[in-house]
Amino acid sequence: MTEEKRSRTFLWIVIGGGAFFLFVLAVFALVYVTLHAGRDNSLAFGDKIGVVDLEGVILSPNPVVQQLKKFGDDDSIKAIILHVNSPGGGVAASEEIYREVKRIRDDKKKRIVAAIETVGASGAYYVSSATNKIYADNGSIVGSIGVIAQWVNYGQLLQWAKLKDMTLKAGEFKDTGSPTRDMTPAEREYLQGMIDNMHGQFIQAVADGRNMKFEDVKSIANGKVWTGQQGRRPQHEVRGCEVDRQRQGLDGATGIANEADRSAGGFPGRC
Amino acid sequence: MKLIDQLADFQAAVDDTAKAVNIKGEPVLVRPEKDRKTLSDLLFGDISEWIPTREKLMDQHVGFYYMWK
Repeated sequence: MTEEKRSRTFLWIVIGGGAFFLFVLAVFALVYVTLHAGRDNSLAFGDKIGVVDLEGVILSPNPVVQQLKKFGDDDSIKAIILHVNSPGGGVAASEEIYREVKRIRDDKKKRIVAAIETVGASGAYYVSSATNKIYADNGSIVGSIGVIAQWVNYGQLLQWAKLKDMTLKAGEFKDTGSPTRDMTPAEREYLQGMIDNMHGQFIQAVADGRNMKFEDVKSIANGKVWTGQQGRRPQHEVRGCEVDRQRQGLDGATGIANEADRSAGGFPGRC
Repeated sequence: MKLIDQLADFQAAVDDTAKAVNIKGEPVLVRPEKDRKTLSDLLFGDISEWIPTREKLMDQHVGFYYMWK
């Protein structure tokens, strides 16, 4: 009898302990789901659209490419919106994100679009050009199809401080771009050649992504930025506006084609 | 010029995209979880990225950018 009572008590302890464990587990699961659902909605039901932010200067492709890959592989994500607010960044970094966007669009056949907020220029526009569709606000800054390399030459500062840079090199162009001396004409030509090559790659990428002719993209690949409103217009209209602006000497130093200036030209309300 | 396809704000882009992929009703927007640094990361994780190194100080070579300045 005592033995039976003891085993019954043991059974109740096991059942009670198990129930308590399940209760604690359920509470933890509930807290986890609540926190995560509030954060990213990934556990929510219904048809989903993934939103990936492309923000700030693009220095590393990694976070954005990983996020795109994750959404690209997730069948519950029906489409992806690239929320762009970036002036661009590194050449190779932009290219890597561009390739992932294109892979999602062409290989995975998943709809991916770009929604440009304040700015989607240069590298950010490069990336956007691989999407199915580009949306922008009237006042968004888009374009700037060009390449830049900039650095400070502090050679004269070293001279003034009576310091001397010591460089040993093998290979004529090994220290091209040294900030401690002026470039030789050959070095300048060499770097310009690289920049021109990258510019050509940029133009080709936009032409491929947007299904445009290389020459059409090249004609606007002068580094200028445009407002969203201007960027939407057919090319012949904008060219007409540019000619008109040049005639009136309205071209600004900023490279931003000012809407108000254009309206003052011969195409009121359109240029 | 056709640099962009449609003048629209973010919400309009969401609605248009939802329509394009046949989502009926309000779509659920999913954003990737942000990488958070916790106190334990700071205490026990890799902090080498925050420490200036000789390599970082030497990193002054020419960079090429697709960037609007």
